Amino acid sequence: MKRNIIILAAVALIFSGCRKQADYHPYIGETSDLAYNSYSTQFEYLWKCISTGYVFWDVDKTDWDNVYDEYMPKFLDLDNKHEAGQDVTLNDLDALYRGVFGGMIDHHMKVYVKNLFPSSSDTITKLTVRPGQMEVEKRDYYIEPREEEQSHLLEFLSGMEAVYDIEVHESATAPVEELNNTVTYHYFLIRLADGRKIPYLWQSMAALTPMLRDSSSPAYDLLDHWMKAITEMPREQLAGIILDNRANSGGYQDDLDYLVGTFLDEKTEIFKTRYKEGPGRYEHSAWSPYYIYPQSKYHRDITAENIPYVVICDINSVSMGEIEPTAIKAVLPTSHIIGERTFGGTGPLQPATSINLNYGGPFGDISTMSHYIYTSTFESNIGGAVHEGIGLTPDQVVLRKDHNGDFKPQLDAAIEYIQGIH
Amino acid sequence: MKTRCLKLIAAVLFCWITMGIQAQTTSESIGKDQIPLQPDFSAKWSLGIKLGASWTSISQSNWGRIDETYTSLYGGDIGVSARYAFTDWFALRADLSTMTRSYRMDRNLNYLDPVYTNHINRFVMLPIMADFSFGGKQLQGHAYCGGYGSYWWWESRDGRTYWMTDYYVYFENFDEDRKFNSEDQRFIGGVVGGFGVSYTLRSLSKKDIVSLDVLYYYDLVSHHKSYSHLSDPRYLNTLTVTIGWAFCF
Repeated sequence: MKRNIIILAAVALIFSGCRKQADYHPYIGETSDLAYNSYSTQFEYLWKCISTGYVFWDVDKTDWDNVYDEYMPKFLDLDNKHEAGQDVTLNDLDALYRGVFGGMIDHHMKVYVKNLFPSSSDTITKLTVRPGQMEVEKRDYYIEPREEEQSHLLEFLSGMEAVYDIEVHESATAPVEELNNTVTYHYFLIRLADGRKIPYLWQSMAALTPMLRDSSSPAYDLLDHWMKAITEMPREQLAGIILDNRANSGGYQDDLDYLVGTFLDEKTEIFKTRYKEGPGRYEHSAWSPYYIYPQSKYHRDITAENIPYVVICDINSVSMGEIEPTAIKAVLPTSHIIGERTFGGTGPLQPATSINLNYGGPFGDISTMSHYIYTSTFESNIGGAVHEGIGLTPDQVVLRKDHNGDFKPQLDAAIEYIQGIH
Repeated sequence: MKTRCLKLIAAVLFCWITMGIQAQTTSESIGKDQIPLQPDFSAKWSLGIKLGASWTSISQSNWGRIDETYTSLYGGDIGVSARYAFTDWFALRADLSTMTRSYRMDRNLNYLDPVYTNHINRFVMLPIMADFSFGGKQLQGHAYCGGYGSYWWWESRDGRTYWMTDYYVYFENFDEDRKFNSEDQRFIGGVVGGFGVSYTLRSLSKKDIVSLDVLYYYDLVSHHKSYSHLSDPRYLNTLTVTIGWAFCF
């Protein structure tokens, strides 16, 4: 018996050696093994992080293994070039990383990579690849990048009073530290010919939450006035609501509490989210419902009162800029979306500091490391489908391109729609 | 891969031959006049059923897992078995059963520690084992060793996940069937070994045998497929304790 046990133990030892050992695979952004000192090891590190932490592998058709096979020899060539004393320019690197990341569907993705051995001919040392921007520029209704559109839209807004009957116009600009940006807000109270009114709001980013949580914030009064107009104005005076999300670059998820929760009486699921739960490409958490809770500070049942709620969006509405109209459309029956198919960045993000929670999302730091990858933390599922890279198609398509880039026809369409609802 | 297969074959042969020689020696030392170990050697075939509990753990790398702790879960094993006795000390046994091979993952990072997932996996198992018998006329001991093939036919998972907004984290319970994907290796195999005791019932018929077996299933094929440049194998290890009833004929 004892001999049998010894024999079995020996056999077990032999069999344990038959199991294959795992390769080193970091969780996304893991830096403990960050010792890359060549173009090829830098690429390998980024490739592995994306392999384990990218949240869209279930819908992204990029053949990531093929990317490795195709590009690793090219990065090794760069190493050889550098070792031979030749300059590796940022253009050399840029061309490779555009090929590596350019086809990915994550429309939040921004890839920043430093040249490890800057060429003397380069004036900048950091390249940027934005796969989403590369894709939207190919759409036939694309006109201009978001930054330029915002600038043109602000010119349009500043001339609104000359075109429409405006009873109130307030504007504010406020820094939002968490977004590392300055946000511009415009509130108009548009008066129709029949005397009814439309409270209209445009903001350059989705940033109601930080302002409305702090009554001393620079945009608190403006936003409070808009919220009160849409919730307290008598029904016979209120023709409808317009939220203009054109060129909105996204921001706070909690804005949904104001833009949707204000009009709800009970906790409501608007979509589902999930995150990476392990290094496998398809290793996700279970889908979790994402709920909106009714607001207590501002509240109105616009469904019962049949108040139209129009959201204008366009190709440069991204992230919360497009999640907001998607959520509004999903749960508020009097909603109506006008404009263009949106950018397609629908996966919520958390800061790079939260990768240890989610196993995904932004990682790196371009100031202290040689890379920073901005990528979605969560995958969202709206109405049973993942819209990443596709965006929201509005109920009523009105393209700027059909009107020589003019912003007015989309707003006119929104006003006309509201006028038709009584 | 070739080396691994050769190792596997060599190990099985080593085990088989070594234990066979030992059992044969024991048998020969008894002598022709003594009582044979098998109570009814004319009964070469036996068919039976088995039912019991399984206890599974997972072996995998910690690479890429920040705060996950994996622990074992209990399950069940139910099926049928067939045995063919070549001699009074050596038989081949094959089982066909459905076995639960489950494990649990807990997150233990700060405020995410309420998050966990129970992975409930069901496999069809087909172990084929050498059965070396020893002992008395009615009460016998058995040593088993062999290999198995299996098919992962179903997985569900339940537990608690989370979703978060800018300022808050919320927890949600879930319970869902999991869809298999291209990373899942559903046909897997491994080696199995263990011990058992059987007892031939006098009161009913000499051909009724009840048994208690303890088997250990050790995957040699990962149920998570490797990528060409990133391998992350995962293996299940399952201990089963089953009771069985067999009819000899």
